[in-house]
Amino acid sequence: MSSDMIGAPTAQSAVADQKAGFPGRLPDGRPATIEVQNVSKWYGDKVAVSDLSFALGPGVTALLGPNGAGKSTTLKLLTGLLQPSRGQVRVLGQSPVNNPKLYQQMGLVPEQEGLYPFLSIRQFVELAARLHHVSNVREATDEALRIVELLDVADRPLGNCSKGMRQRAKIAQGLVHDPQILILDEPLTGADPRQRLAMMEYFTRLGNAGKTVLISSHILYEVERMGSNVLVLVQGKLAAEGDFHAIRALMDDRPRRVRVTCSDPRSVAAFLITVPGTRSVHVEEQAIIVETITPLEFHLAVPQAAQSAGAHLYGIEGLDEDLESVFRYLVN
Amino acid sequence: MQPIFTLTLRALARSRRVLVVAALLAVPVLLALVYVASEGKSQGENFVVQLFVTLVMPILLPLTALIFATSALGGEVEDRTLSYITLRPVSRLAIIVAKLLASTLITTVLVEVALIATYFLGTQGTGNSQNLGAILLAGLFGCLAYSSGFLLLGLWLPRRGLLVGFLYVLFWEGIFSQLSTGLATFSVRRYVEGALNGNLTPSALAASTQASPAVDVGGTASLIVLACVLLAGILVATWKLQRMELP
Repeated sequence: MSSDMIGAPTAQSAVADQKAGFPGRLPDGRPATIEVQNVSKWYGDKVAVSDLSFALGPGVTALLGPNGAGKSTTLKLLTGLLQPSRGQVRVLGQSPVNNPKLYQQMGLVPEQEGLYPFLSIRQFVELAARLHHVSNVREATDEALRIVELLDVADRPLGNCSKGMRQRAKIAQGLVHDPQILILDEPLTGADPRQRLAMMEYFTRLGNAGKTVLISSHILYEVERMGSNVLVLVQGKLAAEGDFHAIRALMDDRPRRVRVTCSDPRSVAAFLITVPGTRSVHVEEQAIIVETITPLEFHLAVPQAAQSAGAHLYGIEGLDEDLESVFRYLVN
Repeated sequence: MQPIFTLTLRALARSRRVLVVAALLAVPVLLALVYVASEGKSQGENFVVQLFVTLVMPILLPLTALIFATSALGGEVEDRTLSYITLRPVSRLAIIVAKLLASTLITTVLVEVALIATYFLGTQGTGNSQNLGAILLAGLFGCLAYSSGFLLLGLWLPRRGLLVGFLYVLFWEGIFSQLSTGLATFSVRRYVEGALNGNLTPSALAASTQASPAVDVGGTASLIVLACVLLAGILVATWKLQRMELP
């Protein structure tokens, strides 16, 4: 096949990329592996994603957002299944549109259910390995099936598999060629808790090994286990990007909730309400829930308040430092 | 390319379409049997040629190609499995060629087997091998040209390709192309018939032109036009696949 038929990047496109600011760099100076610049996608008068810009590097990044936020559209734009209506996408410095060579370094686990019911799990994964020109198809297939724990049932036809098994077969076909970039759209749907845990650990290992893993999920505790880097989409727009702990820290306008457990909550609460920055105090049986806009100062003031009240202090716990709180805040 | 070819062949061969097509293609075989039983074998070869010209070439061959070629790619778009092929380091041209080869192979095998069976039953083994060769060659090129066009149709209209193709076969190839030479110029049928007539023996040619108005295109020219249709279908389908979005 001629090189123009497979859309290889040209010298002209390289010059255009330089003018457009590609290849970009991450805040820490490393080159970005996935770059999105001012990308919008619309269908008629319906806007799916609007003016997205972000850059990702090696590691696990979670793509979060409520249903209809544009997560799947974004992933399809990154893989070239969709073309941007405006803006540019670069993966490993190249446009994914009409560029099959790039797929040698990319793996995609799509969200859709459709599979070939007449193929066995092994044949399905082998098909991917052969199309990726993997040198030892059998070995690579076995390894991918071992990772997703399907080696024992590899000869079962996909048409007779449970949803969880089909989902893991999709993951296996996405990683059988050991891609540099792995894009997964809701990959853990249907998997049982133990398998979910194993897959999350595997994705984390891939990220730590220098692969770029972008994973769309709506199960936030899973995302939290795999790392802290997130992209949050809301109504087709990028609401937040980066480490979710840092994102939370930037939300200065929103009070933090802190639980203080102590022996005499009512007396301690009387002191805590006088601490500068305290917005509200709610007394429970063995604890006090406080909203404060100066969490650092508040944490320093609590032991003193307990001492002043003559109470025993058992613990101080931030209630909304987790990803779910950040996500809920951004989406609302 | 080979894994896509094998995958497509398996998908097409296991579907109910094979049974539908086999039932369709049994019609000329049964007609040949009925003819021999009632008329004897004296004009059997001419009858087979006329069956090819009036039934197989304008209706059964394009319908067989339509049924397999539209689902070779259109079925994958509908089932949302196409991304498992397109998101690979494989050129779009290779995907189209693999899909076309698979759908053409299954179409050609079924059509040619039916033609051979019809020929031997109709002639009772007394026919001229030149005529059988002409029928098989025209059938092969017809399968290639129709499959190429219908593969493109399935890619363009994954949901309605079968219906649109059926209407095309029925009205354009079956009826309108017979109304005038001008309209026939834009039908595939004309060139399949040209390829057939260009290679028949004189007596079989007379039977063919008796059954269908004579075409003014020579055998070689017809084969060249059919090859051009095949090539155009491949190139346009490749172009379409390169620009196609899979939402």
